[in-house]
Order: sequence, then C-alpha cells, then structure tokens
Amino acid sequence: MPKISELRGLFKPFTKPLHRQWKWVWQEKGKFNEPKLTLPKALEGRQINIIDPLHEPDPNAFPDESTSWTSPTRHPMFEYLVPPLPREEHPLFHHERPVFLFDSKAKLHAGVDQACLLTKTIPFYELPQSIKQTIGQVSLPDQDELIQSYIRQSIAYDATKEHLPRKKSPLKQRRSFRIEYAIPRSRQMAILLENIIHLCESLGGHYPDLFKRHLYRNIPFYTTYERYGELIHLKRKNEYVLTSHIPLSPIVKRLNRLEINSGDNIDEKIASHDPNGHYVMQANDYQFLDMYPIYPTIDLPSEQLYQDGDEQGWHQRKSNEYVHTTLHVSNDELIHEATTDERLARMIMFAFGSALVQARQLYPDGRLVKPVTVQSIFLLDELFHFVVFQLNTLNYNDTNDKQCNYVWIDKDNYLYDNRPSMVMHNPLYGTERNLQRYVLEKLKYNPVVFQKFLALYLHGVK
Amino acid sequence: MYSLIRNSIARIIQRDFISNIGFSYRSSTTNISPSNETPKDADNTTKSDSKFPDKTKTTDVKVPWKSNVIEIPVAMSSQYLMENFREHRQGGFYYDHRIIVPEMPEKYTTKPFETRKTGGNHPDTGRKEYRRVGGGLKKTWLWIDTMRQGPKSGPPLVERVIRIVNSDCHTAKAALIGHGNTLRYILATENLKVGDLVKTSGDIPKNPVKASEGDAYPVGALPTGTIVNCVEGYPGQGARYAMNAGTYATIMKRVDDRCILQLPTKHEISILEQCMVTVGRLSNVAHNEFVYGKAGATRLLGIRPKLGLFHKKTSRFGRRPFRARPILVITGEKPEYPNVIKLQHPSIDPYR
Repeated sequence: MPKISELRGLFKPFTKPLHRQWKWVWQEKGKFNEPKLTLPKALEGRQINIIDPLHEPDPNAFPDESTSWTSPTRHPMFEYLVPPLPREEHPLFHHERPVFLFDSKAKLHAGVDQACLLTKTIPFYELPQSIKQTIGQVSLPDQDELIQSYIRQSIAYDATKEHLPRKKSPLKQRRSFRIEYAIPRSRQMAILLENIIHLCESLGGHYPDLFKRHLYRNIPFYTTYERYGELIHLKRKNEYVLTSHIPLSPIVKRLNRLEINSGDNIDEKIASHDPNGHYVMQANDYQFLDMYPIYPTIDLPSEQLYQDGDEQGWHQRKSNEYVHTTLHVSNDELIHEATTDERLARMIMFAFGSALVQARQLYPDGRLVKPVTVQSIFLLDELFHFVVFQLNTLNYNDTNDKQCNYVWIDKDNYLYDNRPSMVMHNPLYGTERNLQRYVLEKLKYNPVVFQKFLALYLHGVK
Repeated sequence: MYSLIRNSIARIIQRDFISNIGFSYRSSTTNISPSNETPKDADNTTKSDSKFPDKTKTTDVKVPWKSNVIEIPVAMSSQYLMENFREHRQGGFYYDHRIIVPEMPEKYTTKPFETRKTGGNHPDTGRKEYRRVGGGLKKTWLWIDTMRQGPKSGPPLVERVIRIVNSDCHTAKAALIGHGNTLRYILATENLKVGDLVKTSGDIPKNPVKASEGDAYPVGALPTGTIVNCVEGYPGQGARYAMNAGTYATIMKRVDDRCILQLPTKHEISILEQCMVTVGRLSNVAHNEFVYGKAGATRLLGIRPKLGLFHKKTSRFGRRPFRARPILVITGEKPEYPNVIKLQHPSIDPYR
C-alpha cells in the first residue's frame, strides 16, 4: 500500500473527482511485488537453519513459549479498539475487604481533631520544648540576606516566563482574564525550598552527619492500617523526603511512668525531653472529639482497588535509612481550596503513616520498643506549617489501651509579608521591572520561620 | 506477504477472541446468577420496608464512636430519578425544563453533577417548547434526598449537620447531613445551623411528639398548627409540596387517619397520616425580596426577554379574584408509573 507521502502531488484538486483520481493511482500504486528471498553469500556455505520471516512457519512446530505472550488486544497500541478490563478483574481488586482511601486530596471536615481520632493522636499546638530551645541557637553567616535573595529570585528574578493556566472565577462565570506569562507558583516554591535546603546542607562542615542524609523527590508512599476493624489506606506521592542514618530520638520518653527503653544512653543525655511530665499531663486532660452520630471515616471514599503492604519509595530497605522529614509542597491553585485545618489533618495522617511504616520495619513483631518520631513541613507560597509526630503505640483496635501518639503542630508561619499580586494587568506591579522594585522595597521578611526550619533540620544531629 | 502476516495475526486474534468470549461468557454466567437472586433481594427489601427494624443496624458498642448509632441507608436511588424525571436520549435525565443532567448516577451520591442547558427544547423531539428559555450561567446539580425515612419503631435516626451550602438548582439552601459513614443533602430549614442534630422517625405515637426544626416525622405524629415543609403526597412518594425557599405548610386539623394541610398557595390538601414531613420553614426566606438590578440579570439565569402580548388574565392581572378552591383529597394508592413503550419505525427516528 502506498504511503501518503508517496502520493503527494499525484492528486490534483478541483480537476477530477478525488475518488476517481484515487482509483487511477490505486491501479498503479496499489500493488506490491513480493521480494525474492536471497541468501547472502556469507551464509551459503554454513549449516544454518534459516527461518523465513515473511512466510508461514512450520505448522507442526510448537509455539515458542520462551517469552510471555501478550495479547494484541491488550497492547497499548490497540487500546482504543478494545474496551478496558472492568475494575473487578483488575489483579489488585480486593473483593472481600474494601478500605477507606485517604489520598492527598482527602478532606476531613472536622480537621485535626478528626485526624487525631483516626490515628489515636493527641495534638499540642506548639513546637516541642526540646526543639523550641534550639531555635536561633545555630545561625549561618548572612542567612537572612540569603533567604531574602531566594525569595526575590523566586518571585521576580527567575528567567522563566511560562503561560500560566487560564484563570476562571466560579462566581463570575462571564469574567475573562488576560493571558499571563510569569513564573509558575510550583516553580517559585521549588526555588525557595531547594535553596533553603541547600543552605541548611552547607552546615555539613560543622555537623558531618548531614553528609549522610538523602533527599528523595516525588516518591510514592502507601500503607494500610486497621482502626477499630476498619482498614484505612493512605496513599500519596511525597514531593520531598529527607532521610537520615539515625532515627530521630523520641521527644517524650516517659509515657505514663512506663519506662520505654531507648537504644543507647547517649541519646538520653542530649535530648532534653519532657522532664516535668508536662506533655503527659496535658495528654491526660485531652478529650477526643465527640462526632456522634458520625464516624470519623465519613469523608473517606470506600475503595476496593488498592495495593497491599507498605511503600516508602525505595525498593529494599537500606540498613540505616530512616525518614527524618517529609516536605509537602501544596499544588493548590487557590489558597481557599482547603482550609488550614484540613491541610494539617492531611499532614498528621501522612506523618503518622510514615512513622507507622518505619515502626513496622524496625519492629516486625508488632511490639514497639522505642517511640518513632517523624517531622513534616508544609509549604504553600510563603506559608509554612511544621508538624512533629511521635508514634507511641501500634495498637489501634483495643479500647482499653490508653497509650496515644503525640503530635506537635506549629501552623501559620509566614516567611514574608506583603506578597505582591502577580496579576499582569495590575497597574502597580504589571511590568517585570515594577515587580522587581516592589520585591526589593516592600517585602517584610520574618526571620523566625527559617530559624524554626533550621531547628527542625538539625533535629537529631550530634 | 501481507496476506500471510494477516492470516497469522488473524489466527492469533481469533484465539484471543475465543478466550475473551470465554471470559465474557463466564462473566455473563456469573452475572446471571446474581440477577436471578436480585428479585429475591428486592423482595427482601420490600418486606423489610414494611418491617423497618430489620433494615436498621445498631453496631457493636465496643467501638467508642459506634455506640448508640442507628444506621439506615439512603432511600433514594436512581429508580427515583427514572420515575420522576423525563429521560434524556443520551442517558441522563431532564431535571426541569431548563436543565439536563447528562449522566445517570448508579446510586445516591453527594457529589455535585455537571449540567447542560435544554435551550427550551423537548427531550425527545428536539422541538422548541419554551420560548423564553435559553442561555445562562453554568449550574451544578445537587441530588437532594427528599425521601427521609426513619425507623418505624424504636429510637429515631439521628444525623448531624455538617455544612449548609447554596444549591444552584434549588431556591432554598441545602444542608449536608451525615450519620455513620452516610452523607446526604436535605433542604435546610430556616434556623438550621452547622452541628445541629436532626432526627428522622417513622413512628406515630399516641401523643403528638415535640419536634424541633429539621426533624422529619409522619404528619400524624405532629400536633396541629405545626409549620412543616417538604410534604409528601403519598407515603413513600418523596416530597412534593412546600419545597421552595421560605415556604411552609400548616397542619390544620386531623380527621381519622388523614391530615389536612394548608399549602403555601393557601390551597388545602388532605393526606394520609403516614406521609413524611419536615418540621419548620425552609431557609433563604429573603428569596422573594431579591432585586434583579439590571436587565442582564435575568439573562444570566437563562430567561429570555418576553413580549407583552399574551398576558395572563387571572386575579393578579386585573380580574376579580376567584373563590377559594375546595380541599383536594388525595386518596387511593400511589399511582404506578405507566410503562409506556414507544413503537416506532427506526427510519422515522430522527436521532438515529
């Protein structure tokens, strides 16, 4: 059959009807002469079994089963011809037991309290005392100037100008927005965050432990756990995961006057934990949210297609690699897409999940010897939330077990104030030059946020 | 050569096709056996409708948040939509003369549905039916549960109000309520707040109950003079009267097993005492005070301009008022939906 490129120029439009032209062309080009099978001279003398690929193979021969055969109907090339398999026939479809799926878009309507119910956690709305003491202790030379320059770079001084997605306002459907070319917000956040992380890494000269850390990007994470007989499946793609070679030491070590053995005695000295039983007393006063008659799983969809087991992003567990911090970079277009409470609830759930996976790998027999601590940081434009999670128990089905997990939440940290509106037709900041001038003059930088970030980053470093 | 390749591929595909057919055959057989069972299930459900305690499920007390919770699934299904709305030829249904919901849901959901405009056209023939319909802003449709059914005896179903939202297709506001793992939308009454508990019961006790706003009861259970909304015509039909913003019906008196209600139109109806009603006045009371502000505002709502020629000649437009209508007594069983089979030659069908 002739190719289209071969037929180019053979059709003359507006002269004869196209089908008749095609008929004439087909009479010429619609033939194919089968090439003769000729053996190269080099192969003539040898005793080689020659297989003619163009002709019918030996009908009596057995089919070659060495490579697994995929049906052409299931080949991606012919996907559009054949309807996809029903969900029920998917190999990962669990017929017997559905789960409640908690993914990165799940919203819990009661926020943090509901997440605490689901994970058996007690929240404290501050950073833990041991981390609070280290804020501002370590500082880098010119750190505030450097961070401000990163902010300026991310907002105004980056060379990218991309076609931003068209805006639309749901309340004013007829409103049209101009096309905008600017630095996309995802890139702004990436510039800011990666520069900050690099700045923190530059402390490696003082703290050689930092050289043993790893930063993973966009790695999958999923796990399943059971809460009062209901399976809850956590699934997410982690934007950044920072790992270290030593696990974080627990923040509260004395739990209900039950001494939990810590691995080595050196940790005991360094980490100033909860000497007066401050957090334990607060935790005893905490009352879990009463959602009667609603179950806390109400916001989660039921799902039967899910993966069993745990996934942290690396295939085989390395001998000493523990999750230190997970960094959640939000991809919300609008700041009101979710509330602060819903975002914090998500962070708590996934911090709990990664702590749980780590605990399961450390203690496969299900007996938690030492609490597992994991940190988590949220970033949306200039907004930071910090969360420190301590996993104290693996028992989520027993009502008699009073042992609870702890979470410390520090929310609404704005790295800078007076963020310029990036709208192109804004008369004040419309041009690039104006934006740069604005960034130099009007931004109000808050130095405490980076100090908190640094304190969390250096947590667990000797 | 190509013929040979084609032959071999044809053979392979044939083999695959046979295996596929085998699959489909097996799946069809597996489908058949449940479909044989489904009528039984339907029978069971109809039986358990009469004996409601079978359907209610009080879960074990061990789980702290599951104690004292009664769970009842949502009574609404796609069957309700099939019976109450005209079907659209492309699979969805006509919500009203302005709005098409293009997809027919499998079961009750609280997710908002995307809609299309009818343009005032007939669902089957495509002819223009309503001259003044066309255009307007996009709307989303919320499936609001109008069949609130509670346990026939024992403690009522309790639900908590999670959110109160504006619905594009309803004048009253919608309240998202939940119990257990079940969410549903109802029409919000005037003073309903987030966090309130609303009850639903199918029980008619000897003495009238003391109901609070948002509770759903049979009419017979409520004292006379109560202000109600979302009134059913027949038991189990789904709410028909007093559904718009700020409206309510009043229970006038009780005669044997029937109740006489005054509708928002001041007409009176007599319905069976088992008909479910919701207590209170519907929300968005200031709806009738809305000022359009400009001529284009009606166009955004999908209303096209009119001529002044064919005006009504009823009491509002200059004639003397008519006398009050007699009480409409709704008797007998709920009429069955007529099973209309259209016989048509395929060549006549314009949409083939």
